[in-house]
Amino acid sequence: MHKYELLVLNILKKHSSITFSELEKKSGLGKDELLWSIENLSNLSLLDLTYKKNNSITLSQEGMSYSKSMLPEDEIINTLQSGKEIKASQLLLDKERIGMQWCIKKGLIIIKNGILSLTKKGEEYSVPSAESIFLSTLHKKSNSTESFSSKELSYISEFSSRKLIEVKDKNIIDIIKISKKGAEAIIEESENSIDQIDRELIVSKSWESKKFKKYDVSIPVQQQILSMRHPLRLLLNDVKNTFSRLGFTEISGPIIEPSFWVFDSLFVPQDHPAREAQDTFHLSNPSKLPINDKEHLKSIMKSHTDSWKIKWSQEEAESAVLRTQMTSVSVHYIREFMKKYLSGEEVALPQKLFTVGRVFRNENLDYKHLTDFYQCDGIIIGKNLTMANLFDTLTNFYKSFGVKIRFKPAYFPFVEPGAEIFAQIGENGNWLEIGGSGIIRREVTGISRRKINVLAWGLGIERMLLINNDGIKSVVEPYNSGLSWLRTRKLR
Amino acid sequence: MPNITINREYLLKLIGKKIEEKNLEEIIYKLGFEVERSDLNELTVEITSNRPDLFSAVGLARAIRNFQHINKTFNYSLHKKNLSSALTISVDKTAEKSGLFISGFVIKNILLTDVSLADIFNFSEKLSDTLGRMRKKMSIGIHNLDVIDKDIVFILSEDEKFIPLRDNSQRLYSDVVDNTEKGKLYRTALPKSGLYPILKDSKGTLALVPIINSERTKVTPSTKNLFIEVTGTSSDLVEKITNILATTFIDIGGDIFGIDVKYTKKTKRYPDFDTNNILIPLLQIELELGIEIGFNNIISLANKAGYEAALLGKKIRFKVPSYRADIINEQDIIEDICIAYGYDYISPIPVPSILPGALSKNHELFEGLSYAMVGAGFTESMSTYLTNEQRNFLMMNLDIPQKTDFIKLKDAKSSNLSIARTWLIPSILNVISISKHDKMPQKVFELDMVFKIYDNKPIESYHLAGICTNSVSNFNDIKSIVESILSVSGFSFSIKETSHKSFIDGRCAAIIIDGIELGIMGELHPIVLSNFGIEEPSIGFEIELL
Repeated sequence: MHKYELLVLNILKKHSSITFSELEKKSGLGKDELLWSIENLSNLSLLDLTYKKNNSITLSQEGMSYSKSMLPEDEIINTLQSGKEIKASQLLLDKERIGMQWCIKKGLIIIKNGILSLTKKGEEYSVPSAESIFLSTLHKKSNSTESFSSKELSYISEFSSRKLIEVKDKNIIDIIKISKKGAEAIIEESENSIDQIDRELIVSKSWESKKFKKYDVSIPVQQQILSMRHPLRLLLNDVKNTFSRLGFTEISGPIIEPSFWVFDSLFVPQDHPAREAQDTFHLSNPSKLPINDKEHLKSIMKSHTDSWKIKWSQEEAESAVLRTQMTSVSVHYIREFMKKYLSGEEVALPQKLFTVGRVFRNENLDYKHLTDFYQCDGIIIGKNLTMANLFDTLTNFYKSFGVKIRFKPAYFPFVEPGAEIFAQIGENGNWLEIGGSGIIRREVTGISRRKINVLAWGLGIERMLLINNDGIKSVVEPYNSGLSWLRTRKLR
Repeated sequence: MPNITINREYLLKLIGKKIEEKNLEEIIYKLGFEVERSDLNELTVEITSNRPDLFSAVGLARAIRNFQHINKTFNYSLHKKNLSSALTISVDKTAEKSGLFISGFVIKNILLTDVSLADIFNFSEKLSDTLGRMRKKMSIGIHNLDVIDKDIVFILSEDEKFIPLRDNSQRLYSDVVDNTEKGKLYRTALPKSGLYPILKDSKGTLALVPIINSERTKVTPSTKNLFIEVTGTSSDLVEKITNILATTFIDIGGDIFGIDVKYTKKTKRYPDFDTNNILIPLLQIELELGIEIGFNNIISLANKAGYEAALLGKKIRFKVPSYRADIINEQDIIEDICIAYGYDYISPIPVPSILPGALSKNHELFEGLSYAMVGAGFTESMSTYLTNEQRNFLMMNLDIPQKTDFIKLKDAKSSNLSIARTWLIPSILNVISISKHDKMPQKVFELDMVFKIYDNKPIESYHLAGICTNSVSNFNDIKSIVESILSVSGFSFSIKETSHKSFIDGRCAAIIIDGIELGIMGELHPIVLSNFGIEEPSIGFEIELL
């Protein structure tokens, strides 16, 4: 509480009811300071105020200029009384002409042959007149009409009709009382209460004999700048932790690959449109990458030639690309697994693996399209794995995010049967495609599905972010927003 | 995936039974396709690329009929009255040598309407654009049979004149290729020899393959007899498409007749409706889908999926319909059974785990570092991995390296993408440059991947970098941050003065971890800041993690 406010409260404590002018006298505060204090205290409901109506007088610009010297008629009379001659035609200024008009009106002069001459009344007129003197007091004085004499009131009505002053009705503070809350506050605000707590207070225990001043909890304060994790990173961690909890082990693999691992080993025919530069980023440096697994290369070449009946080119398979799907990481592990399995090495089944990372599409970057975005791929390698197993795994995964899903038949070259995953947006909302899944073809694993089969899926992460976080409106936002966005993301 | 637009009334007429709007969409969804748009007259359906037989109202209606057990259709055969060839195409050596194939068939007594003809034309366009790879691999021609001879030649020809479809004057092939819309669109499908693949009979050119037919053989709704030819560079695809088209015309109600195609050493009769039988044990189907079907139900499910099927002991014999171009082996049929059974009716069954799950080894370190950075007041940003030389080098006051040791993209659609980033600081400066009106200090970090080439091998590594932009920030501040972060990370490190053009000389240091220079820190050079439009002093660091 400010010291002026405290002073006012203390006076009021002694005088349960007091007028403004009494308070002004007793406090010794200026009028503005007193008004400020009363207003603050009243806003906090510490005071009860009663108001009264009063006329307030304000000088107009014209009135203000006369109040500093005298009324214009006084100036003319003053000149005439000093013996100077005035011709009406000489009076050109507004002020002089107004003065002349009022001299005539008040019967102080008459005009003969264009020359002003004093009447008897004019000769007796004393300058400055009582009106002029009164006007100059209006300039200084505070202005309650109550305190004026009847003569002065008649001047006021004249000035008002001459538009030298404006008389307005106004509510002014009349009686000031301390409220119950104010009486309580003053106890807390005694000299002895604590504002900023400090070490000295704590160590000396001197707070024990004092009161803590209260803070007004409703007062707005400046917001703290938060340092935040990125919402997409938080979701990626959620996804990883969820798969880990469901018994999956995280794997990773390269982004920059020969087409072989992104397409050929996933049974995508070499003339498939998805492989073209239209959709896939090919590289000019390096333009080619070697396929080190020669044995695998041969078997892939054979299955392509047999099934797709088109010439298979190793050169095309070596063309360097940025991976377009995380399944390229999975297929490396499937291959490594198969090498072990076929060599008779003991392998524990089922193996549950997942990988999260960026994939790339040659898009025109705009508010809707990204060139790189996240995908989460998962595989289960085992015996007699079924579509029912696939549906169970994915349903459980999405359930932990509160997302309801549905499966729709779909086509991907490397799975059969294939299923697209659709998530429902809100209760009874639209269905949004959020991923693909299926049982990997034996052309990819290189073994009969009666011996080993592999369930696989690829899930879009950015779309999950849109479903999961109301504050995020487009998939592009997480990648191209400034600090105001990054610092204020909702956690869900 | 191709979108096909079909006439609703025509589709329903082909199905032969009234189906409610909502039911129709649901059936299409259950078949594995999506209705993208639908109004009173038309519906647009997205069909997956493996089912070219469904790129027409006729094919889609057939699939829906089978799925709903309405007037099922499995087998197709040539018209019984005339099993001899209706027409002969001789493939000239020039065409044969350049690896071109042709097949086709003849349809007689067909009743076409504007709607059914439009459906056929859209169908053949869609097939040539998608499976035909914009007519490079395969293309289709439909002609009025009544105006052509029974002997046709498929030949590579010199430039000659003919009247192209919807034209009124004789034009040279070269003129059509260079100066018509279709010519410009499909010219890349022409052989490189400079000769023109032509179908002709004694009266002249039938078609400039694969660009345009002749005006002479134009088909209208009143045409009763048709000759359909399929050409291309893949005999397999040409034959498959021939069957898809032939079965479609049979469904519309035409009488179908075969044709002979004569190559130098062999003659082939088309269409060839002989198809594979595939045997699958019922148990295998049930095991892969995780459902019980039973011998009593499997035949009906097979029919629903469009297969004629029979029990053969414990196995099921599936006859692959002649219009199915996508069936490679038993796996494809198992999917069809799954679709016929209904994905919605498969009850989930859990897979047991034998091992607890685990996150990658890096995860803990990366998360620890990230939270330490947040604790130091830094907000995390994530940026695209792709950038350009301008931002990665030039704006950082660096020259583009002479020896290109970074990943370069080929033909990026976005003109501002040309390389994969080699470091993180430019990405973070970009974030700060778009945060002009945000409160100071602006502290941003990123922990993510960067790319380089070393010894001709692409290297993908993880970096950690942070920038602090503030009116009062100097070298000691960044040193303090880096040392604190590295200390808690358990790295043993030292700091050595260095110079780097992105930083102010004398206010820049190398970070040495385990004896290897793995990082840089300092006060960013005013030139760099100006390039990014940043007006406040900024300090930063970047460390290679692994």
